[in-house]
Amino acid sequence: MGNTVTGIMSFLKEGYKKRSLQWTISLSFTLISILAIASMAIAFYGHSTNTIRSNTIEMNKQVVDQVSLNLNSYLRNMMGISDTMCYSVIKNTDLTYEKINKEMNLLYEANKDNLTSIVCASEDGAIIAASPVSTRKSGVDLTKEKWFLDAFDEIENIHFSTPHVQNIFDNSNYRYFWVVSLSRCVELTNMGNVRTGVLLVDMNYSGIEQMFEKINNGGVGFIYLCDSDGQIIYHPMQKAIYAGLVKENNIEHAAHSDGVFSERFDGQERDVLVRTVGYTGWKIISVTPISELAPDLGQMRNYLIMVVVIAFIIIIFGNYIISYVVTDPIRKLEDSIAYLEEGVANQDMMNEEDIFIGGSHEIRHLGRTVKSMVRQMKKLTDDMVKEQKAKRKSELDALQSQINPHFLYNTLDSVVWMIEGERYKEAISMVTALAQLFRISLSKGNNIITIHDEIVHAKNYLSIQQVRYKNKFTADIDIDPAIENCATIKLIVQPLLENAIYYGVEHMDGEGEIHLKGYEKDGDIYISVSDNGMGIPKEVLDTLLTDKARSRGKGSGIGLWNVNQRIQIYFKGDYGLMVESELDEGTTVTIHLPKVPIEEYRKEESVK
Amino acid sequence: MKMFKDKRALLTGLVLLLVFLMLVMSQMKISSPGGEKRRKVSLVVYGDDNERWENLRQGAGLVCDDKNADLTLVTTLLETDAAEQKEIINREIEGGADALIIASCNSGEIKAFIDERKPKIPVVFVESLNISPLSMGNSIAVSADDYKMGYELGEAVTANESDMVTVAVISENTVRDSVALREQGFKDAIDGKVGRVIEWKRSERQQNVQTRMFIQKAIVSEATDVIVTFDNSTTDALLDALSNLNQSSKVYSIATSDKAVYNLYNKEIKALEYTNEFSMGYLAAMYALDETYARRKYSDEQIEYRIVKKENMYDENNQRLLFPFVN
Repeated sequence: MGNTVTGIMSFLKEGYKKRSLQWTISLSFTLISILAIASMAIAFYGHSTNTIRSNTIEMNKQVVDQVSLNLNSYLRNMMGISDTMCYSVIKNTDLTYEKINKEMNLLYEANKDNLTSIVCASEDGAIIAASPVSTRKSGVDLTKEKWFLDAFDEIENIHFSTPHVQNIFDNSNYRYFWVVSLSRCVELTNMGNVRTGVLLVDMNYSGIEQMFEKINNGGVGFIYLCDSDGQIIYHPMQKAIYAGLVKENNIEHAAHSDGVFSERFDGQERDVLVRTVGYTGWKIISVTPISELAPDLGQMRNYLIMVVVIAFIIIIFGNYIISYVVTDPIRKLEDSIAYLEEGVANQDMMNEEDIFIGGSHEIRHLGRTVKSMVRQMKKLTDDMVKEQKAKRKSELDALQSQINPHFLYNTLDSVVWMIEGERYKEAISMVTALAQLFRISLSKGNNIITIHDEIVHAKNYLSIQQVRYKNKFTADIDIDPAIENCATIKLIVQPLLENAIYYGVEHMDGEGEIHLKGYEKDGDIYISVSDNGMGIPKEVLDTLLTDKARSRGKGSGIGLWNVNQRIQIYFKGDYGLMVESELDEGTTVTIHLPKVPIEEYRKEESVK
Repeated sequence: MKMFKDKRALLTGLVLLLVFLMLVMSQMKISSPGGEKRRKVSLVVYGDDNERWENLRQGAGLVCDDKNADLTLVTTLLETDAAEQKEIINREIEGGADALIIASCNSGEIKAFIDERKPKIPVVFVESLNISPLSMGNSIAVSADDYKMGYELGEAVTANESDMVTVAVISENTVRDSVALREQGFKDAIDGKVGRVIEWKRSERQQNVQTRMFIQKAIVSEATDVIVTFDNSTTDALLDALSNLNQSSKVYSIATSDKAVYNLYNKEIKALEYTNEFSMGYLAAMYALDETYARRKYSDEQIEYRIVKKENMYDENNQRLLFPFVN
């Protein structure tokens, strides 16, 4: 069990940690709010319950006080009748010579609403006087009646009985009377001799019954009356209690001193208020079953539950909105940073405009900071890329611009040799070609020249090499005039011719052939150099334009790789070199360039 | 705004829930105790003597007050007019009674009528029906053990009288199960234990004769030591007959009338078996109005009865039974 609880707790804990910020805020706020509202509702309900209970008790106290006052007054009235009969009539009358019936009748008539009868009996049970006058039931022995015996218990006291049916007088109408008997011991004088007797005042029980019924007709709970032993005198459920259908805790209540207490009786929680009635020792008991307060309490509880449920819903919804408003900008900023992280790999995607700026001013400030950081980062990256590119370009250009010292030495040696052989014209022609070669190589520092100039450069190179190689090969040039004014990187044809001579036709037994061709196709420019040399083996051909060619450092590969790299740096896209070769057949290297007129290129360059 | 669009279903659900809760709250206000409808309970009895049913009415009335119901006592002109009682039952059902408590003037006929009519309200029969309460569907019978009552009265006769006495059993109103069972119990108890048992039963031509006259005739025509009655009207008629004839006899009765109690003291009645009709009314109303209570198994031991004599009639418990509080 313990392990299960721990497991559940750790699961919740882990779940809580893994949740989003919005979920966490929303859940935390909701739980705290629910806890607070539930506590308040419980406290309010408890307080209200106690208030209702104490108010009811207070109200019942007032009612009980009033009943107590009325009952006291009623009983005192009855005791007054008894006192009048005892002290003013019986004590002053010698029964041998006078009758007490007249005074007794007067008293009875004056109080007959509350009285059933007044009886004066001798100690042997003989009736001396009675009012109203009626036939005594045959066979009734008064001395065996409880009220009669009680009178002799404490002779100075007035004794009150519990309700009983009066059975002294006959009533041919089948009527019977429930009475509460008030009996006392009296002194009867006969010819100056005093002997004891009993004075009985039978109070009409209905007087007490009505007094309590009126009270019990309204309000919460009920009030009943019992004697000091707990014998019920009046109870709204009296007959049901007598029949055993309903139970009452009267014995315990009677034993209780005056005051308020709570009890649990017959499955009911009840507030009980006890008040003793002066002389008689009777107890007025107010009982309030809590279940009778239930309609009020239940209604309040149900309302409270409804209010709490509605508050819960509003809180959950409100918390959701608040947490959304608070966390949404953070989430969007997080998304844009995540997008940025992806964009770092690809420079084109790295856009500072994608950084989200919104929400509270702290989040906006954070967004702006990230944006500024991205801007700087991007600038730094661009600068770095530009620098790298420029550096590489210049390296390649410098490499390309270098004149092979052997070529220069051999050319000059050829010139010397011509001058020594007095072949001045040829020498002049060779020197002129060399000079033009250098002039185009320099091109006033421009790397981009026209195709025309590049071809001129190639022609000069070929003419020098033809002299040097004593016309060991032939070369023909076929350039479409439409492309001559287009832009090209300088010194890209010469390396191809050099390769064709050195590795294509130099070692041939027969006459070598080199074809230089320039043309336009599909809007692009193609310049191809073909030879009929020995060709390139496939394994070399496959790696000719890759970094492997460069790593070899020397040989035919490096020149081609260099040219290819330069074209791609300058023109990007799919431009560069294409090499086709067949062993013993020859090799064709084709330069692929965009068709851009030189003026247009220079214009773009000047804008940049 | 996007969020609101995304969460439209949630928002709609919450609004609907709120509206529902508001409706529930308003409904709670309507169904508060102040607005609760008072139920109507009809107590349909036989005979036109309202006071005869006072105890029963008080018992049922106590429950009705407590359960927020109004109790109406409906009597018949004649004690034996089943047709009138059926008409009254019909009228009360159609008048919107929420429960019926019936003291049948003819147990079998009224029960058959209720079975046929199948009212959709609880029907509680007071005084016995000679069938098991469990077989009554939504009806139930509340009564003391009438057979046992009759039997115990028979035992009282055999205990108090010599075994030579002649006992006259007035066989009246036996169409009511309670009376028939009491008579049967009594006969079984005295069978072979007394000198002679005479049954005073109306002949065909005596059907329309007043009960008192029928009894007077019987008394005059046949000498008896003990006369036994099993219901209120027969007991009262016997007491009137004895009074008219200025005769005295040892009367043993099962009755609850004031006249019977009065005559118990005046020795006309030697022993009176008295049923607690207050409990009967109380339980009948509880079964009619309290569904939880009605699910309990009924026991006829819940209805108290006592055999009372003049000597003990004013004992605390007996006087509570014999002399109900009447306001």
